[in-house]
Amino acid sequence: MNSGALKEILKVEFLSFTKEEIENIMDEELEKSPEEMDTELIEMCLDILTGKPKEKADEVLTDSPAVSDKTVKKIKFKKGILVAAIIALFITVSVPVGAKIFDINVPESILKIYEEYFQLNLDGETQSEDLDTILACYDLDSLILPRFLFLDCKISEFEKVIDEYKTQISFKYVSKEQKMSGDVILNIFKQNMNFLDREMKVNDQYEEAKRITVNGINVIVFKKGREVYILYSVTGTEYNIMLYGVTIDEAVEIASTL
Amino acid sequence: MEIKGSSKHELCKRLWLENEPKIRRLCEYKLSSHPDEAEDIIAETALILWTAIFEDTPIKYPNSWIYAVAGNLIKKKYTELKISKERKIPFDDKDPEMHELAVGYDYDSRLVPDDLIERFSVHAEPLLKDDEKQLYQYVYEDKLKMKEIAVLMSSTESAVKQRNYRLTRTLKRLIKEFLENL
Repeated sequence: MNSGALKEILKVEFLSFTKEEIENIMDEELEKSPEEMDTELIEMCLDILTGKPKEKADEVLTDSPAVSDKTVKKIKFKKGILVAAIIALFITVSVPVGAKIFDINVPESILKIYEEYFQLNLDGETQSEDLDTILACYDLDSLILPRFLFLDCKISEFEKVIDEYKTQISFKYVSKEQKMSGDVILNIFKQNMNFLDREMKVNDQYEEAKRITVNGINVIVFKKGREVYILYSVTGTEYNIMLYGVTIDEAVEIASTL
Repeated sequence: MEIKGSSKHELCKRLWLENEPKIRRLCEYKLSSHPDEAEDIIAETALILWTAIFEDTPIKYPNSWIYAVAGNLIKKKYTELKISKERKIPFDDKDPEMHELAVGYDYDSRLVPDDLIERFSVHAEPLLKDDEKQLYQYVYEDKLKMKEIAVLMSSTESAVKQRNYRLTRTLKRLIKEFLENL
């Protein structure tokens, strides 16, 4: 089998059929023995035939050998191999018009009003540029980050934003020798959210990608232009570190210091 | 999955709770004009499941086993009532509107290096049936059109499309398992 052709096949996500064809696919599947039957396929066909709105697939427990995994959309990190490494980058940016509408006269360093949430900095604006100090101030000591951020960098624009699903931490950094700079975004999801349920997608074109395992953590490193991204997740927290002005190999070395 | 180490009652209950909504949806679709018959089939499927478990019938894949039971009951009912296709939301067989059916097992193929794809191609070939290998050859290596393949395989274009879908899904499942087992 030609590996070039295989690569093309493995990129296919959808194929188009008429309803009659979909019904035939379903009926054919129902004719199979339990060992061969693909119940997930039957359910996907029924979704279309019954006009179920397109939404994230429900988790489907299947146990026939034809479908050995629980759901196609579950993302598993197993044995150092990222089988489906697709990560969505969220940045909520909105204009703080709320303060004007409600005539609130509070400095933005204390209260920022966004469209769907507000951010209250009761700790007071920290003047520190040291990541250790800042994280301690926000009670975020347990984060897993590359060593260089703690040793060699000045931190600025630190933000902690809480919404109904997660706490998002973001900040900028510049290395003390001015050789490296970039952004860090972390999403710490709430306890009741099943991290594996969420769909993550790479939406951008990346030129190069590498994957490594560091202390059991699966890490992906992407290069896009002059930006390199280090992406990983650890028990409910997604980490997205953007580095500017480094090569992908340098980023891999940085990632290995987690 | 083999049934062992669990009280039969609890097992029956768990399996039925998991599967009843799916079986209900199937029966209501396939017997949309005969709701009483649909309810009978749902009840009968539950009864067959309970009987099988309490009589220690070996059931290796319970979820697909339950679907197979319901599917057979529906087929018998069609014969008995002398009906053919019933559809909850009727549509014309000739309706050309296309709908996307997900192949599944998606992942970012950019993260799989070429040498692994090579290894997978060697691993996968013996796992495919002869007609699947033939179809693979026609579609992906010879790059023939569905119409041309239909002629070569003495089939219809629609049937070839459906077989191609199954082949694609199978290959994606196989590579996912291959990568997970590395």
